[in-house]
Amino acid sequence: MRLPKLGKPKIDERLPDRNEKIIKNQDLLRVLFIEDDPNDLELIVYNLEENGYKLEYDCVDQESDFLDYIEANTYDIIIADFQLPGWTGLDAYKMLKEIDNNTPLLLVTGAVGNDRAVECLKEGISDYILKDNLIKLPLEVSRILQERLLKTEHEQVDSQLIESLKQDITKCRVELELVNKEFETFTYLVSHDLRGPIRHISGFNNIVLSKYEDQLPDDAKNYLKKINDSVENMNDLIGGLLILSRAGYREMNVKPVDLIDTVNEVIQELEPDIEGRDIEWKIDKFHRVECDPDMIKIVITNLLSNAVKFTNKKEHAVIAVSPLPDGKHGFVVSDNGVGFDMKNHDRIFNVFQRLHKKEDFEGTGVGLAIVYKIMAKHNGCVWAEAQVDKGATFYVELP
Amino acid sequence: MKETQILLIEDDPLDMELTLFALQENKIANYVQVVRDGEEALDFLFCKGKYSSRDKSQQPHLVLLDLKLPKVDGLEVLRQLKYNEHTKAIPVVILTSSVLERDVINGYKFGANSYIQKPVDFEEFKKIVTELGLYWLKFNRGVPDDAFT
Repeated sequence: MRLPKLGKPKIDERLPDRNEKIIKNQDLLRVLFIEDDPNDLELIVYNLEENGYKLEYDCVDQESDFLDYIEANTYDIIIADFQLPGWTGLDAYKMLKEIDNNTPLLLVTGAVGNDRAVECLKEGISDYILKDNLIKLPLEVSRILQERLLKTEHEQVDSQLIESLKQDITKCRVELELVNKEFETFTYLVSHDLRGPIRHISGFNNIVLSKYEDQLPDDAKNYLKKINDSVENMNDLIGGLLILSRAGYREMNVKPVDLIDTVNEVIQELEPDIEGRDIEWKIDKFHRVECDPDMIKIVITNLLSNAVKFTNKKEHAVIAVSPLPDGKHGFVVSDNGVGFDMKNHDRIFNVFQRLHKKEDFEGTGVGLAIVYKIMAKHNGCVWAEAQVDKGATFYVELP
Repeated sequence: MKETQILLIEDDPLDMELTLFALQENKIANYVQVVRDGEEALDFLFCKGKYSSRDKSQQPHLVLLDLKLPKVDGLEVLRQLKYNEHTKAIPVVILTSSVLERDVINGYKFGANSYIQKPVDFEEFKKIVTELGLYWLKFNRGVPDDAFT
């Protein structure tokens, strides 16, 4: 069996390397020399041309000329002597940086002392060669140009990437605006167009009830009242849906809130539902929390009115509001009402989900869905613990 | 020609009927002129079209304006009314079911005197209509007739 021969691949089998590509593609190398010695210049030019570069060049040795040339022309590379009459190649490098010109600069110098090398490195010049090592010049030029090419390619890729990201963002923004617009239309539909017919039913029902009160038999009046109740319920549902969708859509306005004030406010507002009931309120002290005050009020209103509602069969109701244990931000609402079976825990936060018969407890089944949505919006969470006929405890945690 | 105390701009026939019922039951206005779209409202206010023979000096003392109107939108009616020297002093109450903040803001931007969201409960609606009728037609001192003609 013959083993394949090992050894250097033939020239044409090699992958074309970058150096070759540059030299071949570079029809003309445009160079600005900063050089005060014509002999040195000739030597460098010769060296480059010998190595296949076709040059088109200018040469300056004064600072002012340098600036004029650099502004008037575009060069592929600047090859500068270090020691010049009245200035140095390092000065040229600094000037380039100052005017934001990123033409590469290669220092060719008679001798670079250590101090000078350090100074150059400090300024960021990495490209310099010694005059007595000019043989390295073509290679160095090639390397610099290659680096430049790579850098340009990277920049192009970067700018393409940035451009496509920008387009993505614009597209997302347009889509978001569209969704928001659709939502507004939906809100309008719900609040205006759906509420219209409800208002009409309620209105005419009411007119019949009041105008023909004397003529109507009692059961007819009863039916009309049932219509009224249904209309009210429908209206509450729509109101709940509006709050629910608005909670998801509204911009958050987070600030420090004293929950105790909100709790007391809500309890006052619940007064009509509380009248005639024996409710013992246990309100603890709270830390301030960071949240949207309007939204958290909706949360507290829903939880407290639920607690009031689900304790209405109790002779002596106890409703407690306390801070979350372990110093966590948030609060706990507990009651000694009817509670619920824990197997329904996840369902209670679904919209239109009711666990009790309507005759027992009124409600639309939107309240806890609103609570859930608002807490999600706060990056917080809500969960519950309950036992049938022993009461329920709702935990609200804010970040 | 009877004096128009209230101009009701309302496209929905049922809403119109309910509002009229509420106004009449509480004897707020003797005569309510109803127009059914924005264009007719402007014709009435500026005595154009079928209202060209109307006495321009007899302007309503109160305009009840719905926002969502055919032909010319309610806000545009409001804008033109408040922009015109002869009509700008007429109090305009926006009576709508829209809860959009944008509508409220634009309403006031264009010079509405009040913005009322129609409640679903008819008892409440009757109460509101009575109160706003009493306020604008009885308590509030409006511009004397002819003052802006």
